[in-house]
Amino acid sequence: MEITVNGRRVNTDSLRAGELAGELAGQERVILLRRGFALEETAELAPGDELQMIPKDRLPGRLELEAMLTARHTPGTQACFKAGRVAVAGLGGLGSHIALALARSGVGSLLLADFDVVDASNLNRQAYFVSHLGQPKAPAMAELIRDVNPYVETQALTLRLDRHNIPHTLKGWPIIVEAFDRPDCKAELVNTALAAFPQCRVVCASGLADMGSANLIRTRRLTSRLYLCGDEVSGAREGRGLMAPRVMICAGHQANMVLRLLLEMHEA
Amino acid sequence: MLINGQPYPLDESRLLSELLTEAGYHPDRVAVILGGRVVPRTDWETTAIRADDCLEVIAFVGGG
Repeated sequence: MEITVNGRRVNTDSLRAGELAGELAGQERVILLRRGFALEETAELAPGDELQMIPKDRLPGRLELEAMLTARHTPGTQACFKAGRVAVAGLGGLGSHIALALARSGVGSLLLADFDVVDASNLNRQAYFVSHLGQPKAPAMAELIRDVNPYVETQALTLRLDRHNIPHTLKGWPIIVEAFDRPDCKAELVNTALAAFPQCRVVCASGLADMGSANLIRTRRLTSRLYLCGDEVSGAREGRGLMAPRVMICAGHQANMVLRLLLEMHEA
Repeated sequence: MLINGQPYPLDESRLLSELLTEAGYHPDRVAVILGGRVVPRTDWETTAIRADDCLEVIAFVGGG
């Protein structure tokens, strides 16, 4: 039968995924995907199938990796993600997880901005490792992203963003993610960016500390250009800490909203 | 007028900058939405709020 593998036509006598893998890859361990889903070895093949074959044990080349992302994702999404350009402002608990989620999704270009250095007290909730202690967060995050998807373009900036430098530093980034810690910095970024860039969209966060229900964290569309994630009340303060799961849930909300915007899905 | 859906007593129009302080907000921690858009900070001292306005004040809390 004739099928397509990684975009190329293949004539095969194999009837099942496992046989085809052996025929095409020999001893190399591979995974075969059909319409975003990994096939069991026993899965039956059909004429006209469009399959992706991905090596399991080595870094795929750029085209192979892109084919893999395309194959794993909902059909039609990858080209939009790849064209995406997103600025992540703040790379702490929120921003480190947001940036990684966007990189894993294959978002093409990321600006990574943070003034701070990784310290031991960050490890309870931020995406860094012990090996990053003492390193500035922006280059540390760029390094982590290279370990996940080396084909994402990153620009690492070690800088404290404020109302004076935001207008030129974030100029030209169509989606800006606010992932700061302090409430005044959050407000400063949201207000400055929306005023300086008439087209940009901002995804911000407020309320993710403590041990409240995960279900209280939500995404709201506040205006046509501003989205807010969080429970909106649980601020970090003495007696009310920041823990990995709720921080990651909120980061997940923000990253998901960014991906939705890249697909022109505007509702929260 | 309404702030975040709650009635707020307003006898006469008031500047947004004054209203925020009077209503107990930290002005440096908020974004204000009026008429479907975020009011730029530079306009707070010239934006008059009237009795029929609905404001949404996003008061950011810390953590990130």
